[in-house]
Amino acid sequence: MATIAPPRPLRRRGLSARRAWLDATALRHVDLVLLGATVVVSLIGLLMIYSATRHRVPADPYYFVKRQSVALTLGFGLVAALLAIDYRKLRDSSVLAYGAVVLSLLAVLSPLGSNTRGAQAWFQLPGSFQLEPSELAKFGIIVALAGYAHQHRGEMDPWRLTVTIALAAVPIGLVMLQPDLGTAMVLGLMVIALLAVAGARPRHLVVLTLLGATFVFAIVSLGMLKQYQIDRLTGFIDPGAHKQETYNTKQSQTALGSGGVTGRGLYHGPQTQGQFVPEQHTDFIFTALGEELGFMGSALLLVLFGLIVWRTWRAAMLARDFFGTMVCVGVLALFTFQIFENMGMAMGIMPVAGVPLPFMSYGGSATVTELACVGLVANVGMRRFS
Amino acid sequence: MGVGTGTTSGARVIEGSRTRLTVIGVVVMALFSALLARLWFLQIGESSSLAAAATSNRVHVVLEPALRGRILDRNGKVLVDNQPANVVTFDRHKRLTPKQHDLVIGRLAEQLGITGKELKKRIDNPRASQYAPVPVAVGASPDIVTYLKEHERDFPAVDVKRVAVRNYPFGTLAAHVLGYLGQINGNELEAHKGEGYQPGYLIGKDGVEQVFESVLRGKPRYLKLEVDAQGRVAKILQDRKAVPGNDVQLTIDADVQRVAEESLAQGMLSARRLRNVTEQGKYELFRAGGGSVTVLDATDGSVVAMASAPTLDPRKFASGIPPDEFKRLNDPSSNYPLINRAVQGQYPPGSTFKLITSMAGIESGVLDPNAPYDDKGFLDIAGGTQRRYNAGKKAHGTVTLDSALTVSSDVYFYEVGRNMWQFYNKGDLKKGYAIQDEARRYGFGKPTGIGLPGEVSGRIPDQKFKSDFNRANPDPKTRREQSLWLPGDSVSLAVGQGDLLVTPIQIAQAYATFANGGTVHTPRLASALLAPGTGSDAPPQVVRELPAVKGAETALKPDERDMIMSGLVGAVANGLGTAHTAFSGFQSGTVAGKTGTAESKPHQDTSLFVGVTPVDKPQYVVVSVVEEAGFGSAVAAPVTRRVIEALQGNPNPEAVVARPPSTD
Repeated sequence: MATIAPPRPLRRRGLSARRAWLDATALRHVDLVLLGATVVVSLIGLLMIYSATRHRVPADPYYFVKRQSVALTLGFGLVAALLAIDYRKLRDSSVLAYGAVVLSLLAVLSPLGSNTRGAQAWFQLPGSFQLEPSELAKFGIIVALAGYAHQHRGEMDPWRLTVTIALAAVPIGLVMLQPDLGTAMVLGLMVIALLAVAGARPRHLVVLTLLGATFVFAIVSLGMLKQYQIDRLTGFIDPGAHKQETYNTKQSQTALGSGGVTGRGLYHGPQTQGQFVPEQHTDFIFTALGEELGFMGSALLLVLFGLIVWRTWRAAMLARDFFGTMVCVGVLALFTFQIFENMGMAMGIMPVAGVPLPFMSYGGSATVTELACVGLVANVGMRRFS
Repeated sequence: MGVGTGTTSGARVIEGSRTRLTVIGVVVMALFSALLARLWFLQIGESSSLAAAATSNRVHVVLEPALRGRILDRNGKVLVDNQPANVVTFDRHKRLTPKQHDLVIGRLAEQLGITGKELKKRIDNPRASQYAPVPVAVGASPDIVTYLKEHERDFPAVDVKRVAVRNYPFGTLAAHVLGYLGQINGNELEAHKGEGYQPGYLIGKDGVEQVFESVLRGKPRYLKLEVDAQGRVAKILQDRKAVPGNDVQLTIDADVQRVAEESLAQGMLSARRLRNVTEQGKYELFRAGGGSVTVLDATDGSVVAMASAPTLDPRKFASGIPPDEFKRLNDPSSNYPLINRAVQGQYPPGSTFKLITSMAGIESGVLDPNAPYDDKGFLDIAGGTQRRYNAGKKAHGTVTLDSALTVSSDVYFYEVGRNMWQFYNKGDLKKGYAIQDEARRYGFGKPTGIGLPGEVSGRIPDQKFKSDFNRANPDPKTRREQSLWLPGDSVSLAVGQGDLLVTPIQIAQAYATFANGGTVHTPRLASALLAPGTGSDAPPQVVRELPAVKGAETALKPDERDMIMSGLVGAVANGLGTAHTAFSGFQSGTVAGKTGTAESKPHQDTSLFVGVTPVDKPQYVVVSVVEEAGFGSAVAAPVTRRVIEALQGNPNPEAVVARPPSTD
């Protein structure tokens, strides 16, 4: 009992020399496997983005690579910054994180946000950059719910369960209004995973999962919406090509299959270079990798993802406090679901949904958010002794 | 975990979450295993079949049309060849920003003098090839081309290509015979499946261009390309050279053709100044809206000239018919210029059919050509219930076959028809249907086989025809009555009226058969296929001869032929002959002929004339038909006369003047 380090005294130690020592001590335990795997996956992603987009802007074959590099730089900067701050400080600002998430999601639905391909989901930033608050919301919701769960130390009675669900339902509902059903589903599954570890009863979880599935099914399938609304809702499935769902998966599987064991060779995948697969630098980036680098490349990526997920799970197990465990579980659920949905969709075993592949898909907001999550996990992991 | 836990309850909770975390870990491992398994199945298990799918996805075959063969006349004069033209193209696969795209379209539309909307429509032409730049303007002027080249930077995606387009050195000459080129349509694509046609290609429509499509077209260049999803060419996998099409040498003589067309036009124009008396006794002018002249070589069936009026301009079809032009071509007031009346026009032949009646009568024994007959100007038939008159109720007095032909006595041939009907009535169909049988032997009632698209059969009436024709009549009583073959039917048939319909080419073929002594030749338009580029300025290099097709021999006997021929000579040369006026001043005995004035209710009478020249050893048969122009002697005869003058070596005979006749 006494060995537990409560956050309050830690914060009271105001001496900078002391903090530097502490940080240095913690840094000794930083998870190099997690960070290393993340760096490697990010670099592979950059390479595949180049391969898939080098003919897209004739004047600048590195156009997309440059923009993704900016996001990666920003993201790894954020990882460094997050490592410097004790994650337990974040615990106290979880209310703030929650407020920011809800506010930004409200703002994007207002005229401040811009509408692209039928979804009101972006803020237009200077320099033709865009900010997608629903991506940042993933990070915010993890912190917020972990904070709430920590406060109640996992005693998930029906009342707290209801409060947690209500807390989660607000941002998820706002994301659905954009509409971005893919992200909403990721958030929903993440919440269910968090509740599971937080101590919700299995019975409740099952009911919750069924309710969520029924809700999604009802919205999409039953005549509760007008046709154009259904189209908008299902339009997220493959941005800009609602009716091409089957085309996408067919082309994607053809490309993957033609990759074989060793692949067609970097820059030599006919489907990738011919741009047969729509969105192949974003949601279908795995297709480019699978075609050009074959089973070897795809399996390597899967192993690297496995490393990241394993180290995240390990951090959850080893976390010094319940907040840390919850944060890692949230990230674990987020990554696992995104990886499974994204790669599964490219391989034709999951429905097409606009979910990015972590660290691989082109897209600034998602990349920064995912790296921030890694930073958070590394933070929890390296402070497991302090 | 290596760290202490909090309160006892906290420890319990964390122990509880460890269990749950383990469960989550198992779920995650299961999901990753599923991904790996699927990956294995896709990339190692299924990979070969999917690789094949990827290949078919990006390899495309493009066929570039070869240089089309030329069409020459019998003397090697070029009727159709190719000339280079500037084609402005737009590359749909060029990457432009929307702003650039609009700018370029605006500028280009201004240069071409069309609206941006029209230009966009041309660029989006769904029939254009997917893998080549779209042609947006054919035959652009050198000024535009120079401007585009000088301002290349302002026109990305725009290019100017030199292509070959059809050229007609003689303009509209022989337009119906030559046909024209047009964009291939769905039916044609279907019909020519597997022959390497693609949407947007030009194909021969009508005439020689259609008949000899496979010869003229040659073999297209075969290009196997590797393309990306946007259709841009990445690599040429295979390139087989084009084989230019062979030239086609026609039997048409361009000079005779020109005179035939001129004469027809002059005859029609001048016929429109003649007055017609309607049945109600009112006066009106002849409309003379259409007609044809067919010149056949009687010795082998070669078509020397084939004119049809009104005509069309094949040059207007080259890059698709403009909508207003299409509307005009199909408007009844334009008199259907798309129709080649020589093979698609059906008319009652009138008195020109008396040739068939004469031969049928002699050969069946119904008619004694030397027996004198008293033409009183009328004949009572059907037991005196009907009276049929000569034209103008004129009585010709005593005639035999030859003089009956010369003066065109209808009554004489009514008598033949009436006698035949009596045989029909007695059940002797050999004599009763003698005219029908003879007509079939001479090529009526079916297409001649000249090969031109849309040739029609005409119609030879008999009892079976009548009952077929009236089959749909719901009233059994009138149906039975109208299905009977009556005396009036035989009588009308004998003078080329009634339900009989023939085409001008059939008349020409029948007279040619008569003139050459009884050999039916299938009319032909082409005599040889030549190697590309030979025959006009180089010695012809014959790839394949297209010999005349000799058909059956008819039962024509020399004395029978001589007797009828003398009647036909008389029609031109004799003072009483129907075409005497039209041929005044002609050397006697060089031309034989027969006029025809066919009733074609509700239209005005059709004017026909068939000329055969020379008489002693006939070489040419000329058939002129002018719709709604009245007497054969008034319009068709002078038209034929002018064509015969050209055949006799006068390149520019005096213009045709239609003259009101004394009689038919």
